[in-house]
Amino acid sequence: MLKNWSRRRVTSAFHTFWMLALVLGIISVAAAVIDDRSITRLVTDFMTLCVLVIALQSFIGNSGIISFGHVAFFGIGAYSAALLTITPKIKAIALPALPVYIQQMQVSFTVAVLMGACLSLLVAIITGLALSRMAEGAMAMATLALLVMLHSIFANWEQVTRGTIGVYGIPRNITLFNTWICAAVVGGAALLFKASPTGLCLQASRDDPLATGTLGVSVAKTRFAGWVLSAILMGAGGAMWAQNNLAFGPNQFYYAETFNLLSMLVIGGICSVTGAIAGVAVVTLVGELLRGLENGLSIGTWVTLPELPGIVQMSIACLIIVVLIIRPQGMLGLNELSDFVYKRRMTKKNT
Amino acid sequence: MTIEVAVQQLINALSLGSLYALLALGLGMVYSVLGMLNFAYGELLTVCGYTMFLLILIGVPFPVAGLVGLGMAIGVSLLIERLVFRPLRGASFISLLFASFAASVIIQNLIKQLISKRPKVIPVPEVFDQMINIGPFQINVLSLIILLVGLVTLAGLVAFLQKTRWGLAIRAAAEDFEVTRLMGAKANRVIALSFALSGFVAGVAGVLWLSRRGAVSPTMGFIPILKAFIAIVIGGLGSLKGAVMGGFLLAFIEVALMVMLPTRAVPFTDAFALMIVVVILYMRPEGLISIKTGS
Amino acid sequence: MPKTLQVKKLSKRFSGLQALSNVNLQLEKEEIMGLIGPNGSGKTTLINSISGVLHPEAGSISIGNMDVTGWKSDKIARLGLARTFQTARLFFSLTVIENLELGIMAASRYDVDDKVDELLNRFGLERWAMDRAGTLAYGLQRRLEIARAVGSNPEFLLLDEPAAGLNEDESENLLQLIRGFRDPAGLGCGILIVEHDLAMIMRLCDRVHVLNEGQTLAEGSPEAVRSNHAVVEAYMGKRYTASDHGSALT
Ligand SMILES: Nc1ncnc2c1ncn2[C@@H]1O[C@H](COP(=O)(O)OP(=O)(O)OP(=O)(O)O)[C@@H](O)[C@H]1O
Ligand SMILES: [Mg+2]
Repeated sequence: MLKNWSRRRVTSAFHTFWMLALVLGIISVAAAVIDDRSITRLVTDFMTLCVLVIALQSFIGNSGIISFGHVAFFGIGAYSAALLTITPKIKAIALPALPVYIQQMQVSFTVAVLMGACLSLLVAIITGLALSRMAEGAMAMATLALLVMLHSIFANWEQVTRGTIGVYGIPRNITLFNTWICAAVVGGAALLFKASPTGLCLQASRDDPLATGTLGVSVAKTRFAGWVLSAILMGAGGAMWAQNNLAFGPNQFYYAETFNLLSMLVIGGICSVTGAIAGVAVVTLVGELLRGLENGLSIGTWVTLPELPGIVQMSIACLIIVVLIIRPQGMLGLNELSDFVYKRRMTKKNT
Repeated sequence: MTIEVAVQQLINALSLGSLYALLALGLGMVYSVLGMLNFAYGELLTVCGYTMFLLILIGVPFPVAGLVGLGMAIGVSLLIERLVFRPLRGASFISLLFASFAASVIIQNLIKQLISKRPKVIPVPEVFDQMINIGPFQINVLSLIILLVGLVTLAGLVAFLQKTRWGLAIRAAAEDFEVTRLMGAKANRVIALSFALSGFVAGVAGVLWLSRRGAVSPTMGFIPILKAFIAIVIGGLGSLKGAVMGGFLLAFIEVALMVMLPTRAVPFTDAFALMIVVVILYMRPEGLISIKTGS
Repeated sequence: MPKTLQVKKLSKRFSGLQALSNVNLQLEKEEIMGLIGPNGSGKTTLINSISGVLHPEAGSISIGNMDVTGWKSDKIARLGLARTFQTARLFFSLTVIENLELGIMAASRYDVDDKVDELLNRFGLERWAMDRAGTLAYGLQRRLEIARAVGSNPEFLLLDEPAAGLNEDESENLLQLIRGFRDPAGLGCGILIVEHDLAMIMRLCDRVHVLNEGQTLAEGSPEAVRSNHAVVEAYMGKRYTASDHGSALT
C-alpha cells in the first residue's frame, strides 16, 4: 500500500509542517518571553482554535462537503475531558450520579486529550457508517441533525453533563508548551492526511465524485475515512479547549460556535491547512480589535460610542461575504505554505 | 388511547405537517431553482416575527401586523438575493451556503442591536387558545387555523406553479439548474421571483409559527430552518412535491414520538426524531422522491 | 483463456425514452471496436452502463467470468475497466500529477511516483506537471484524461469521443496512441471507442458496432459495415454533421 504514497506530496507536506510548526513555536516562545497573563491566554486560545479549525478543515476542505456536526465532536471531547480531569471532590458534589470509578478518576492533560479523541472516534464510526453513504446535500443535513441530536443529549443528560447548568472546576492544565505541541501534531496529521492516497481520493471526490468512482475509488469509504480522522482531531481539540476554559455548558457547542469555526475556515481557505491557521489568526485579530467596541467606547471626552453587542460576529459575517466575492476559495486558495517555496524552485529548474 | 385523543393527535399532526410543508416548500423553491441552500431562510421568519412584535406594541391589530410581517419577509428575501447571492452567481454550493450562513448571522445581530437580545412576548389573539367541539371531538382553534391556512397557501402555490406562465418558468428552472443558466436575462427575474415566493411562504409560516410560540427571539429562525432542511432532504432534494411530503412525514414522526415516548424520554424527542430521519436516509439516500429517476 | 467483456440483451430507459434496447456486444482483449451511431443513439448510455455509472433495467454485463451487472462503478473499475468521458471530467482543482496519481492508485501495483513520471513522459505532459488541470488547454485536458485512464493498465478501455475538439495533428497523434494501447507489447487491452469521424474509425478498428435509436443496426468489419445498406441509410440519410457534439451525459 505504501506504493501509493507519493514522495512528492509527502515531502511538500513535510515542508509546510515544519514551517507552520516553526511559526506557531515562535508565537509561543514570544508569549512566554512577554509573560503577560492576557497575552498567554490569547495565545493558548489561538492554538486551541487552530486545532479545532484544522480538524474541521481535514474533513470539509478535502471532501468539499459542509459539516455542521463537527462541533458535536468538539463537545464530546470537551465533556470527556471535563469528566476525567475535575477533582474527585468537586465531582462528588456536582455530579453525584456518575459511576464511582469515573468519579474517582483524575487524569493528566495528555490522557484527557487522547480519551477525548477516542470517544469522538467511537461516535464518528457509528455516525459515519450512516452518513458516508448519503448524497452530498443529505449528508450536510445529517451533520446538522447530528449537531442538534448531541446538543439535546448534552443539555438533557443531567447525570453526566449537569444539563444546561454546565460543568465547572476543570483544572487549567494547559500551557503554552503543550498547546503548541498539540497544534503542531494536529497540523501535521491534517497535512499528512491531505498528502495520503486516501486524502487525495477525497479531494478528487470534491471535484467530481462520479469520475472518482470510475477510477476504482469507493467514494463512500473515502468519505468515511475523512470523517473519522477529522472527528478524532476535533475530539482532541475539544479536550484541550475544556482544559483551557475550565467551565462550560451545552450551548457552547451549538450554532454560534459552529459559525465561529466555519467562518475562520472560510476566510482562510477551506482547502488549505495553512489557510485554516491564517483564518484563525485573522478572525482572532478582528475580534481583538473590535472587542472594545462591543462594550462601548469613549473617544476623548465627548464622543462615547454605545454598546454594540454582536458587532464582532457581524463584522466577521460581512468579512465572509466579502472574501467569498473577491476570493471564493479563501485567502490561501488551494495553496499550502510550501507551494510558494516549492513552485519557485520548479520554475527555476525549468528555465 | 381513545378515539377522541387519536383524532386530536391526527389533527395536530396534520396541522404541524402543513406548517412544516410550507417551510420546506419555501426553502425547496430556492434550492430547486438555484441549487443552493439558503441558510438565511430561517431569518425571514425572524424578520416577520419582529415586525409583528413592533407593530403590535404600537397597537396595530394582529391580522394587520401579520400582513405587514409577511410583506417584510418578502422584502428581506429579495434584498438578500440582490445583496448576497447575485454577486455570487455561479459560485460553488458550499460558498453559497457559507454566504447565506453569514447573511443569517448578520440579520440575527442586527436584531440584537436594534431591538433586543432577549426573547419578547407577542400577545396572540385569545381565540387561538380556545377549543371548539366538532361532534365528539374537542379541537384547538389554532391547530385548525394553521391547517386551513397551510393547506390554502399550499393549494395557492401549486395553482400558481401549474397554471401561470411564471409558475411554469420556475418549474422549468427547477427541473434542471442548467435551464436556469440558459434562460439568460430572464434568469434574474425567475430567480428573484423564486426568492419572493420563498419569502412569501416564510412569511405565512412565520405568522403561523408565532401564533404557536407567542414569542420572538433573535435566534428563533434556527428551528424552522432545521425542520425545513430535514423535510426537503427526506423528500428528495430538489423536488417540490418531495418537500411537501417530507414536511408531513416529519410532523407525523414527531407527533407519534410525542405520544408514544415515556415522560422521562420526552426531552429527547428531537434526538429520536432525527435518528429516525437519519435511518430513513440511510435506507433511501436519495430521499423519498429521487430527482434522478424522476419517479 | 483471455478475458472478454460481454454485454447481453442490455436495455435502459430514461422516463419514457428507450435509450438502449436489447444490445449485445462482445469485446476481446487486444481488439479495437468502434461504436458509432447518430446523435442520441445511445452510445454514451452504453458506456455508462458498462462502467457502472448507470444501472440498466435488463440484461447483463460480464467481465471474464465475473458477472458485474448492478455493480458500482468503483468495483467494476478495480476489475480492470477504465473509461473517459465525452466532455473531459478531470479533477480541476488538482494538479496534472495528482490527476495521474488517482488513475494509477486503483491498480496499487506500481510505485506511484515512477509511474507518474512514465505517464508524463509518454503523453508529453511534463511541461504542465505542476499545473492545475483546470488551467490546461482543451486538447491537453483530453490527453490528460486518457493518460489518467490508462494509468492503472486496464484490460478494457472505453473511450467516449476522444478526438472531439482536437485538431488534425492531435487526432493523428491520438490514433497512434490508441493503437499502442491495443498492442500486446504495450497494454494489450480491449478498446471500445465512440467516434463520429468515420474515416478514423475505418482506419483504427478491427470491428465496428452500429447503434441507432438504442438498437444494434449492424456489427462487423469496417468494410462490411460501410457497405451495409441499413447503416448507410441511418447515417447518410439524416444529414450528419461531425461538428455537432452534444454532451448527453448525466
Ligand atoms: N440522464 C439522462 N436522462 C434522460 N435522458 C437521457 C439521459 N442521458 C441520455 N439521455 C437520452 O438518451 C438518449 C441517448 O443518449 P446518449 O447520450 O447515449 O446518446 P449518444 O449516442 O451518446 O449521442 P451523442 O452522439 O450526442 O453523444 C438521448 O436521447 C438522450 O437525450
Ligand atoms: Mg454521447
